[in-house]
Parts: sequence; C-alpha cells; structure tokens
Amino acid sequence: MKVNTFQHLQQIRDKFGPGIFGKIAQKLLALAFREAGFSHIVERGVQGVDIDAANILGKKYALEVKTTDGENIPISRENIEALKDRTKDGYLPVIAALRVQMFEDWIFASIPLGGLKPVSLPLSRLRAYRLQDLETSICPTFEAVVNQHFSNVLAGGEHYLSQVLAQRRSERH
Amino acid sequence: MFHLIRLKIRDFRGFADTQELNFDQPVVLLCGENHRGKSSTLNAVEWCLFGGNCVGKKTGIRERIGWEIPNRYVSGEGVLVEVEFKGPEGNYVVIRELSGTGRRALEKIMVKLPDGVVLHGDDAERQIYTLFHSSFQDFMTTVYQHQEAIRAILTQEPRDRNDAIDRLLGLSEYRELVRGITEAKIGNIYKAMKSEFESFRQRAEQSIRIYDKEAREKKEKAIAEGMGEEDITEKEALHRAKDIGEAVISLAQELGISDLQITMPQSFGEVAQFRDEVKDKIDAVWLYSPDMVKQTTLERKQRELVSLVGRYQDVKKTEAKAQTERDKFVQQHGDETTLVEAAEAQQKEITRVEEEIHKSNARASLVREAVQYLKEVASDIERKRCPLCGAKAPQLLNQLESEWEEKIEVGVRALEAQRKEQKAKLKQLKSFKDQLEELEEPLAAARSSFKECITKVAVALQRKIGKHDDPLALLNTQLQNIASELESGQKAIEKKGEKRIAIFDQLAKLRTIDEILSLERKREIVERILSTKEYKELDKLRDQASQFMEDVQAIKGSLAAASREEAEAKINAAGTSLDKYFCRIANHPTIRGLVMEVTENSQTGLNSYNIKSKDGLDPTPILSQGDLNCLALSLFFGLAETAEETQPFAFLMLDDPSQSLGPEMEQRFVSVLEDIAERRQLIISTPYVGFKNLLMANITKNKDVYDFLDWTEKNGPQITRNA
Repeated sequence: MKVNTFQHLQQIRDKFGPGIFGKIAQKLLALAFREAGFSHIVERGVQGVDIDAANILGKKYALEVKTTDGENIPISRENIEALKDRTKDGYLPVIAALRVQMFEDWIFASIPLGGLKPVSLPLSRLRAYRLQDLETSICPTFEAVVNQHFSNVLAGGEHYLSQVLAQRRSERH
Repeated sequence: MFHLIRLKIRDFRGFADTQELNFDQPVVLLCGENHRGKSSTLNAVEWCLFGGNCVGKKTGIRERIGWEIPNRYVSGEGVLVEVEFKGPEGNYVVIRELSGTGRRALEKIMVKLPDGVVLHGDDAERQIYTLFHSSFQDFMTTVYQHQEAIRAILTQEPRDRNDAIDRLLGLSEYRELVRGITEAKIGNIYKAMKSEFESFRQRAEQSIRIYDKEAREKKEKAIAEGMGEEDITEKEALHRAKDIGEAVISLAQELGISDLQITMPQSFGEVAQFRDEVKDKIDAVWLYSPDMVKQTTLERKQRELVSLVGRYQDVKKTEAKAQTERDKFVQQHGDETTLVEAAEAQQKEITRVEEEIHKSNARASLVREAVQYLKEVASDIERKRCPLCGAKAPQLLNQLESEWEEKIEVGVRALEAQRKEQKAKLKQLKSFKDQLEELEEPLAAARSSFKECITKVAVALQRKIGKHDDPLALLNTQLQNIASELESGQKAIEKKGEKRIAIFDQLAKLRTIDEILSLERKREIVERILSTKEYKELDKLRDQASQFMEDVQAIKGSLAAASREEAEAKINAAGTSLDKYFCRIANHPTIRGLVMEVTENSQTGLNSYNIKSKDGLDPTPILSQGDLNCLALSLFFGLAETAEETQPFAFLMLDDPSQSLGPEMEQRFVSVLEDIAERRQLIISTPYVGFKNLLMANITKNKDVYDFLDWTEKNGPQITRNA
C-alpha cells in the first residue's frame, strides 16, 4: 500500500478509533471488491462472515475481515464456524487481514479451516495460504477506493460508506 | 516360527576369543554378577540381526549413544556374531562381522539358508527382513525386553517415563523426529527473519516520516511567506527559473553588461544547477558593473586616505613628544657642545689636582724616609741633631714625626677629596651626554617616519606637499570629496540593487520549491522500494518461509498423530494383556486393574501416557518401584502377546527383568513366566541368585544355565554351562 493510502487510513483510524475503523475498512474492502468486478457483494455488520463476494466468472469468496496494528489477529470459534458455513454454498473461505502499517497490504489467505483453532493467529502464518491473484486484483483497487472516498469517509464515517454500498447495489439492479 | 538355537561371539563388546552358546532348551538362564557379559550376549543377537540400526541415538536408548561394538581391550580377528535359528524349513545361520574401527570400519553380513545357499551384503539383509519381517523397534518391543527399558520406566520423571513407554511401544523414532523438529527451533529462525524484515520496514517508514515532516514544515513556511501551494510544482519551478534568468539578463544590461549568457533549465532536474549558475553570475555582474567598479574604487581610496589620516596623526604626535623631551633635557643640562666643553674643563681640573697630590706625596715620602732613618739607622747623637742643619734637637724625631705627618696627611686628604668630587662631576657630565644621545635617536626616527608619511600623503593626493602645506587638511578635503562622490554613486545604483535583491528573493523561493520537491521525490524513492524486484522477491521468500513453517508444523503434527495413533492401537491391543499381567505380577492391594491412555502433550506434541486404575484414579502416586517394574514387564508381555500371531520369533529375551521386584512379586512373576514358557522359548538374564533359584525351582520346562563366572580384559567372560 502506498504511503498516502496508509496515511489516509491512519487518519481515519485516529478519528474513529480502532473499533469503528475495522468496520470502515470492511466496507472499503467491500467497495474495492465491487470496483474490481465482483458484482455480488454482501457486506454484513453482524452475524456470519463479513463479506460475500462473487463474480460472473464463478469466483466466490467468503471473507472474514480483520485489521490490526500488531502481528496477530484474533480468530474466534464464531469466525471459523461462519466461514465453514459459507463453504456449503460454494464460497471459498478467506481470512482478509490488514496490518495498518506502512508498506503492508491486505493478505487474503485461504487457510485450511480443519486445522484452525480459536486463537490469536500470527499474520505470518497466513502468508503460507495467500491468494496472490486475488491480492494483485484487490489491493490496488482498495487503494483507489480509499483515496477516492477519503474526505467523505473522514466526514461521514461508516454511514457514508453504507450509503455508497447501497447506491452501488441499486446501480447493479 | 524361529527358535534361537546357537550363538557364536567373538570380539563383540566384552567378548574376546570365540565363545559359543547353545539355546537348545525351552528356558535358558544367563546368570552371574554384573559386568560379566550377560547383556552383551543378548545384545549380540540383536546386533547380528539389525546391525547399525540398533546403535546410536535413533534407538531411543540412552546407553546406545556412542555404543562400542568391537572389544576395546583386544585386537583380535575382528568382531563376529553368528546366530543360528531353527525355522520351519530348516536351520538359518546369520553371520555379521565388523573389522576395523571408526571410518575404516567394514561391516559384512552373510546368511546361510537351509539349502546351503549363502547370501551376502544387501541380499543377506533383504533375506533377513524377508524371513523375520521385523524392524529393530518390533524386536525391541515384542522379543527383547531391554533392562534399560525397565530402568527408564522406573523413573518418576513424567517426561522420562513417557520416553520409556514410547520406547517400549517401539515409537522412539517418532519421538526423536518430533523432538528433533522442536529442538531445531526453526520458528526462531523465522522470527529472526521476520524481525529483520520488520526492522528494514521500520527504517524505510522512518525515512518517509522524516522526509514528510521536513517537506511539510518547509511547505508551511513557504505558504506563510506568501507562496501558494500551486506554486510548489515542478512546472511552476521551471517557470520561475525562466523569469529569474530573464531578470538577471535585464539587470546585467542596466549595469552595462550586454553579453551575459544564462542556460535556462529544461527540466526540473536542472533547476538546482541553474540556481547555482545564476547566483554566481548575478554576483559577477554586480561586482564588475562600471558603477560598482567606481564605487569600489572610491571606497578603496576612502579607506586608504582614512588610514593615512590616522598614520599622519600618529607620527606627528610621536615626533612632537620626542622633540619636547629632548628640548626639556637640553634646557636642564645643556646641549651636546656645552656638555662636552664642561667635561673637558672638569678633566683639566682633575689633572691639576692629581699633580698636586703627586707632589704632596713625594714630599711626604721624603719625610717618612727621614723619620725611618732616624728611627732605625741613626745613632743616639745623630738622632738629637737635625740631619739638615746639625742643630741640637733632642725631640727632633718625635717632632718631625708628628708635625710632618699631620701637615702632609691633611693636605693630601683635601686634595683627594677634591679629585673625587671632580671625577663625580665628570661622570655626571658624560651621563648627560649619553642621555642626550638616547633622546636624539627616537626624535630622529620620528622625524624620518613623519617624512615618509608626508611622502605617502603626497603620493595618495598626487601632489607635492610643500613646507607650508598642512597635509591633514589636504587629506580631509580629499576625503570630503570622495564621500560626496560615493553618496551620489550609491543613489545611482540603489535602484538597480533593489532589482538584484528581488532576484535573490526569487532564487530563495526557487530553492525552497526545489528542496520541498526533492524531499517529496526522496520519499517517493523510498516508497518505490515496495515495487522493486528485490522487495517482491523478499516478500515471496517470506511466503515460502511461512509455507515451510506450516509444512514443518504439519509434518510434526502428522508424526505426533501417527505416533499417538500407533500408541493407541498398541495399547488397545495389549490393553487386556497389560491389565492381566499387571494384576498377576503386582497384585496391588488397591489397584485392581490398569488402563493406559495416550494424549498429546500440547507443548511438545509428544505422546503423554496417563496410567489410570480401573476406578479412574491416578495410581502413579501410590505405585512403588516394584509396581512400575511390573508395569514395564506387563506392557512388554502385553505387546509380545499381541504380536505373537504376526511376528516370527519363537523366543523372548528378558534382560534382568526382576530388578525392582520384591520376593512375592518375583514369585508371581515366575508364575507368569511359567505360563509364557508354554508358548515361547525364554532366554533370561539375571544377576540375582535368588531369582535364578526361583526360576530353577518353579519353571517346569527343561532349563539350561550359563554361569558367567568372571570377566577379564584379555579373555572376556568366563562362561560355564550347567545343564
């Protein structure tokens, strides 16, 4: 991620705090998937996986979104169950993790759920299961989305992004 | 099934010359004190079958690390162990030899088949495996009960006991692999790598923060000074540079320089060089313009004349002072001529006085000689007459003596005082003359400096300075003229100077833009590290390292799981026998049966064995050493019994099995052995005479006894057979 994007994210986090920032990052990521051509996007604030993303090529991802300052992300039993649940509908379970640091990008990892336990999961473990193609496609789009909506997000926060997502949904219909 | 019927040993561990033992009875006892070669006898069978596989750390037996095969005390023909088995199709002889030691050790293996075919090397090894299809681990867990296995299980340390049970179950190899992976600490290497990467990332981040901060501060300052944010672009910098260049050329023309050339920057990268060039040129143009040259010349002249004024005043003052001092001296003491004349007069007077003194002295000398004569030479008569006139003078001598001495001495003394006074006067006059000379010198030097200064003034003013001219007034007049000229010149160039300052202001702004943009560019360079090939390669390596870590963990997990599954299977299979044998041998008053469970140690991934009594309680706190010995034996018998159907050996080898058993337990153990002897040939080693006697008395099968009586370095064990 470019420094400007990182600085924008940092400003958003500084303004809204880590909790709300996580939700904002999730919505920004959902928008990035939308911009990257994933026509079917379901972004959930509560219950279930955070994002369902599917495109016309048949790629279907169920994303559990995590942001952190440190080197670990918390994975709960609910997270694992939610991801497992989406596999029934043919979604590939993916942990999307962003370390909010300069030079860091989203990691999309399709970690085997069988061996996954509720734990504080080191980001370094996710590296072994990275979906490089998905990262190559989504990370630049995410940057563009952040830079495009930065001022409005800073002003309107999560609510603004919900509106944008709703608008994008209606555009599709 | 294969029965062990004969064993030949040479130079193996404690053995020296060839010894042969026959195992043609259902029960064979190897009896004798410790260090007599009993265990080596059993080890020899094992080594003959499995060679290097039963040596070293991989066996899981601590004693086998650095285990020596050749007898260290003899240098005989080399190690030889020959074992004869009786199988369903006849007798098989396995011979393993070892010659040399260390790197030069050469191992040979040979198998003689019942049909007389002899196989060597790999063929022989393959034949052994085909015949017995047993690994060393199988042999160790189901055929040969090592005394070390019992000793290890007797420990109260859970980790060691888990090790020992793994060994009893033939799972040491798994354990060693899992432990090896854990102890390799590849996680630490990965952490170090991650930490290096993180440190690099932080350095880059720090650089960016510094560049950002500096650029931001400079930008804020520039904006505060009136620059617009839109001015801080490369394009604007180039425009500004062009304007500056044109302004410099225009100024040069105003200053009378029409041929000034300035290279305009074509790209932002050339701006810094342009700034330096313009700065140099503007300085040169300014410095060498006619107005400035004139001003500079006038200023230099002004400085020169001011300096001359100071100099003139100084020398004049010095001369006046010297003159005053000299005049005052002359007034007091006279000039040189006066002093010289006075000195000469004084000298003459001194000469005169000295002559007078001389005369007085001559006369006095004469009187003194006469007195002397009268005193020493003249007779009494002569002494009373005057030597000059012959008149009677009875007191002549005394009179002469006192009268003349008084008169002469007074006169000479007066003359000498006079002379002294005159000499002092002469000395003073000479001193005055010297002082006068000393005053004349600075006066002459001051006069010379003054003259020299006048010459300089004349040169500076470019005119003659006459006797009646006042140089100071002339200098001051000239200085007034120069000041007036400078003032009018300054007014003329002041307007041009404003333009010059305006160009400098523009140059300063250009420099600020250049610095801000350079800082931003440096930041971009650091930021571009992300997209470099090297960074991407490094990132990929991190992924691979992470993948490697995951793989290693998966392998470790699989090994641990396989070990656990195998342990569970073996314990399940041997469980009934384990319980049966434990209850029979231990006959514990409160523990009426044992259940063994295996779990994974969450920290190490290794097998952890829980022994529970059938009522679900942990019996270990109340298990005695004897009970633990029973547990080890029960486990071995349980496994051996389970394997009976699949493994081909018809014999069991028990090495010191009763080491911690009490008399009653021994009794019960012998009863168990009596049962086992119904199905299997037993080869039992023991150092205990009581246990031997118990076996002899209670085992109803035929027995052969080998007594290991002594052991010497030269001959090895002394063995006698007592059928």
